[in-house]
This record gives sequence, structure tokens and C-alpha cells, in this order.
Amino acid sequence: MADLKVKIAGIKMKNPVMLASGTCGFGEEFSRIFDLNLLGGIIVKGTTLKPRAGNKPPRAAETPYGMLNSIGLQNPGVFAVINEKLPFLRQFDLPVFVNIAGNSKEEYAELARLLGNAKGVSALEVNISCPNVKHKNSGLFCQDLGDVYAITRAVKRQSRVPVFVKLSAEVSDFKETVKTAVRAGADGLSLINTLRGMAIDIKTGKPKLANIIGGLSGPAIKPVGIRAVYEAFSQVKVPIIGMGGIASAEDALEYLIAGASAVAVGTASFYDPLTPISITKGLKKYFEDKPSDSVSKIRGRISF
Amino acid sequence: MKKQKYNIQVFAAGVLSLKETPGGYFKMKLAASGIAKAARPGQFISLQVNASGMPLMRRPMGIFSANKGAVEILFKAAGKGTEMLSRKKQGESVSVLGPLGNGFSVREELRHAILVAGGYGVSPIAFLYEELRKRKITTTVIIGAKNKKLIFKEGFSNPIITTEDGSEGFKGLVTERLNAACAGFACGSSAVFACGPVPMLKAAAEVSEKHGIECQVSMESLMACGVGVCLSCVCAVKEGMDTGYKRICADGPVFDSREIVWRT
Repeated sequence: MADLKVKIAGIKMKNPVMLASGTCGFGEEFSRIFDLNLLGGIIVKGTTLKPRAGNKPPRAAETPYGMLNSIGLQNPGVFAVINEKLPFLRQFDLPVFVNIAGNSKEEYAELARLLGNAKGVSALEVNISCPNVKHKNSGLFCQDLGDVYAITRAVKRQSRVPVFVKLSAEVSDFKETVKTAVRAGADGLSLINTLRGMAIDIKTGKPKLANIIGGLSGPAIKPVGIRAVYEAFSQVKVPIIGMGGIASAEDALEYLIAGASAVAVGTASFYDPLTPISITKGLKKYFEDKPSDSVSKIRGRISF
Repeated sequence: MKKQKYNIQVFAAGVLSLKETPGGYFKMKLAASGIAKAARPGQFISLQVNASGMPLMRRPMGIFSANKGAVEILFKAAGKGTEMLSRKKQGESVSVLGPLGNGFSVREELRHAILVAGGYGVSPIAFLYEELRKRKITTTVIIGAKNKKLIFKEGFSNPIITTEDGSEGFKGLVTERLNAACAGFACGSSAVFACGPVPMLKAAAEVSEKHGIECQVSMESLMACGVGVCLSCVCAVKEGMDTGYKRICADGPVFDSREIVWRT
């Protein structure tokens, strides 16, 4: 049997296939469909200090080979996550990454203090790239290098567990953004978040999302994710969780070759919840056929 | 570790038959014994149109019937996805996810049910009707449509028909008929079950509430996951003095009408 074990930022995983934040809730729903123990890890829904009701519907629109969403970080808040969601996930032999989202450096630090020391949390994923929450200039935190540095640093100071910073590819200098996060202490990177997009109903002339603009995900964005992982891998040594349009073992391998240490399945789980299981099977088969190779050996192995 | 219960299935279901029906619908019968056994009226399944990624998302469909190892759905070829589904052939397979959602809840004390259906809302109502008949609960069925051509009444005995243009049954909306039906029954032992377009559900809720009769509405929305993880298909609900959001796919699709914040 091919061994798919990986270790990223000191976290041991059975395989490199994770579920991406915002596409798997806190694991409860998918536990009714398959055994969560088969996953490499789970990155749970973006968690904020206070409960958030989220944006007005309609919140999603189907687009060619993808979808737009503007959920607006609906979540029960950090205390409900600690008291109600984490105990459920502790039943499984599964690294749990908690995605955190704040409105200020101080909020991120507080979330890191609470979750970065909570039982059953393996790592934090710092969401500074959500397109669906408004803050200054209505841009993304990761579009300001000063914010990237300050937030990453603040989270690192408070967290006992490794810190992954989730970035968008929609920044003016991607390489510099990546280097800034690592300089501020990021133990790893999650690449990429959704890309901002828009769709209009031509019959009514209205935007398809109540929030007008939303995040594009699905197979349509895979080449952007591959580019981002490739560029990041050329700049920094930290582990990278690649995500964006992964739906098959081939997609996962493409991300690994581009420089990812692990991958996360997002939108594909919506239309086929068993995607992570079939990817793991496909990877096993791939490495059985190539016994001299492994997940970590093919990382970044692009032939130019 | 607690024993996990896998009660949502995803698998390739064979198409047993696909027929056009009165009202301009397609009725698809799928081999799905696990779902047929477990499904309750008001629940739905979600179908993958094809695996090519166009369209990407599954299409949620209310269950029309579930017995003898098969599940039937009723749909209109209203968009690209459903149009592609309508061209499936017997013997082909479709990936099915389900059973999903909560379904209608039928109280022990229920003696009489008023069923209100509009458009393809008739599908889950037909399944509920069968279930109520088995349980010897009497029913009044009201089916509304724009015109005679859009009426689907197969399986119902003596349904009350209303059409907006008066081409069949009563002219007008279901509301008036519902009002008359509600007046004839005691509120404690009767209930209204409605499925159809939002304005119809809102009107059904108002009439039922006026009569003090419980009203369960089955909501619909575009869905991405169908299982409650993506939070796309929410509807506004009352949460104390505030408005919150509930997932139509996982917390619904059936809600107590008093819980819904109707948008105008």
C-alpha cells in the first residue's frame, strides 16, 4: 500500500486531502455521509468573535464550471465553536484547523488566544482574504502588506498551535504578500481563497447575489490556484495547503507538483461529497504505480 | 467513539422510466431502494445532471413517491440543467444524493389535512397525500395554477382546482378556496401543508394563521450542497426580536409558517 502520510508544520496527517473552510461546516453534516477519519484533515468554517447571521439571500449563483457565493461568514461565534462544535470533532482521529476571521488586528489576536489554546485544535487558518465581509476601503486585509504583517504577528503571539495564513491571489504583488506573511511568523499558507466576481440576471437586470459581488470558486479558478502555489513555493519554504477547484486526484497531483504540501477540497464537496475519498483513492493508486515517489517527493517538482 | 450513522447516501441511480405528464412535467423514476425505504414526505433528493461540470451543481427535487425500491420525482425542464435531465434515457444512471431535509411533520392528533399545491409544489404534496391516506387522515387538496394546461392532479381524488384564468375549476388563487376549507375544520385537529411559489406560501400562511390553524410550508431555493454545509439556501426566520437565517436544505425545507419572515 502506498503511504500517503504527510507532516505539515509538525502536524501528522494520514493523507494530504483536507476539506476547505466554508465548504464543510464543522464536520457534522458530512459525518452523516462518510467516515471523517478517512480525511487528512478538516478546516472548519470561518469563526468570528460574535455570532454572525451572514448576508441576505440570494447568496449563491452558478457560473460556468464554478459558483459565486456571498455567505458573509455566517457562524455561531467562537464560544459556541469551542463549546459545541469542537467536542463533536474530537471524536475523530482528525487534525482540525480552525479558520478565524476578525474585523481588526485585536479581534484576530483574541480569536487566536481563545482557539489557539482550545482542546482539539491542531492549527489556525487566518482568513485575511474573505471577499464577503466589509472593512476599511471594502478591500481584503491581505491587500495591505502592513495588515498582513500585523495580523499574522498578532495571531502568532497568541497561538499555541501552528498558524496558516489564507491569502487571496487578488493582490498587486503576490510574492511580496507571501513573503510578508512568512516574515511575520506564518507556519504555513493556505492558497487560495475565492476570487471576487459578479453575475447579472439579464432578464431582470439585477445582480444574482444580494451582496452584488461574491467569491468565485470551483474548477474555473484552478489555474489561478496553481499559479499562486507555484509562485509562493518559489519564495518561501513553509508548507502550503493548495486549494481552488480541486475535484480529482489529478487536480490534487497538479497542486502538489506546483508546490503544495497538502490540498483542500472545497466546492467539489457540494456536488460530490465523496470527492475527498475518491481523491485519496486516486493518489494511492498513483503512488502504488510509482513506488519510488511520495507526496513529499513530488512537491514542487515541475520540469521546465 | 460514538457509532456514526450514515443516513445520507450518494450513488449512481438507474433511470427506470422517464415520462412526460399532464401539466408539462417530467416524471423520472429512479432505482434507489435505500432512499425509498427511508424517505419521508417533504424530503428531497439532489441530482447531478452530468459529471462534466456543466452545469456544476446538483438540482434539488422534491420526492413525488417512494416505494418498492424506487423513488419518483416530478420536474419541469425550466433551465439548462433540468432540460438535460429531461433527455435522460431509461437505463442511464444519475448520481443521487439523499434523502435530504426534514420533511413534513404529522402530529398524532391530526385528523384532517388541507394540502395546498402550486406548480411543481404538487410533487411533495402527492407523497404526503399517499402517506396521510395510509394513516386514515382525511384530506382536502387544493391545486392552483395559471391555467388548465399547467395542472397536474394525477393520484388525487377530487382535488379542488383553481386557475388564474378560470380555464379549469375555480377562477382565482388558491387563497379563497383555502379560506373556505379552513373555516370548516377545528384548529386543534387540522393542519395546512403547502408547497409552491413563495407568494402562494405567504398567502397560505396568512389564511391559516387567521383561522388559528397550523401551517407547514415547504420552501425552495437554489442550492449548492443540499446537506447544510454551504449556507447558500437560507431563508429569513424570526429569532426572538431579531431576524436570523435557517438553511432550507438542512433545517427545512419544511418550516412552521409562523417562523418565516416573508420578504415582499
